[in-house]
Amino acid sequence: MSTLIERDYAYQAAGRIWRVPELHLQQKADGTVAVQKSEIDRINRAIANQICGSLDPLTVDELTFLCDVTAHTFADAASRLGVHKSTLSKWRQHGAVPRLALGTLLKRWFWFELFGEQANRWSTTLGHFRDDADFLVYVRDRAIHQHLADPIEWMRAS
Amino acid sequence: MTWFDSVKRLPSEVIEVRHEPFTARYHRAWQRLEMIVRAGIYLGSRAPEEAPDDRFREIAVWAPPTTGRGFGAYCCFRLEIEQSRVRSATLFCYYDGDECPGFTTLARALSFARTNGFALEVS
Repeated sequence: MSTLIERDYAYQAAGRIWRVPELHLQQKADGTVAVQKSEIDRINRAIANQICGSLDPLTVDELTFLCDVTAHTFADAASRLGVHKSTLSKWRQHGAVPRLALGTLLKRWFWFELFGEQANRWSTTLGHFRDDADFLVYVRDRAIHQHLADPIEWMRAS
Repeated sequence: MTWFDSVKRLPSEVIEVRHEPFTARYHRAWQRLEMIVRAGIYLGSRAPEEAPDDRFREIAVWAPPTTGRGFGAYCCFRLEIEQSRVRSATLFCYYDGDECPGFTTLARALSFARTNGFALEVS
């Protein structure tokens, strides 16, 4: 089995097209090509980190993505917020989480689902906790700096 | 323990998604792969279609929809078997109702799997 590298790979996820600088593919003995789950996890974690650290309102596509990569359902997210799951059905129609504060709460939850185990060992100044949105930008950047997630950018909406 | 229970125990380096070539549907499979492996429901297994071979086994799995409504994710894995142990799993089929078949309930997914030769093992 050999590894192929595809550069600047366009990956469609969370309602956007993301530019993956390097995608590692495995060419198997029978000539077929596959992507390992570990590679998919790496890319999905990078995207999740970027979404959670964004100051933009959380879209329903992004919420669905974050649920998928953390193996949670909308019902789990509703329970986390203390709202009825029908509320998320309304959000689905709206296309986004209507209140920035709720989106930030969800982003914080999902970020810690993915990176909390490693982040528990971090030390930081209290000032970073003053504003919820700034806190998420801080942990996003720190996750990249500490190689818990790769940097990634999105190219356009899908 | 089912074949799918064995897949859940595999390290992520030996669980793969086929790439020939990639379509938007398989990108959706990438997004749902963690959910499929963790929360998928086993629908049964069969010998590989092209040639029965003790080294391989195919399984069908269905994961409920993330949003709680709509189509779930129906997928098939080809398992590489060695000495009765699963060595690797390759996802080669993914249906979620978006320009492909879709199943809103476990019963419908199970029925489709049976139609395609997948059967639950009798313990």
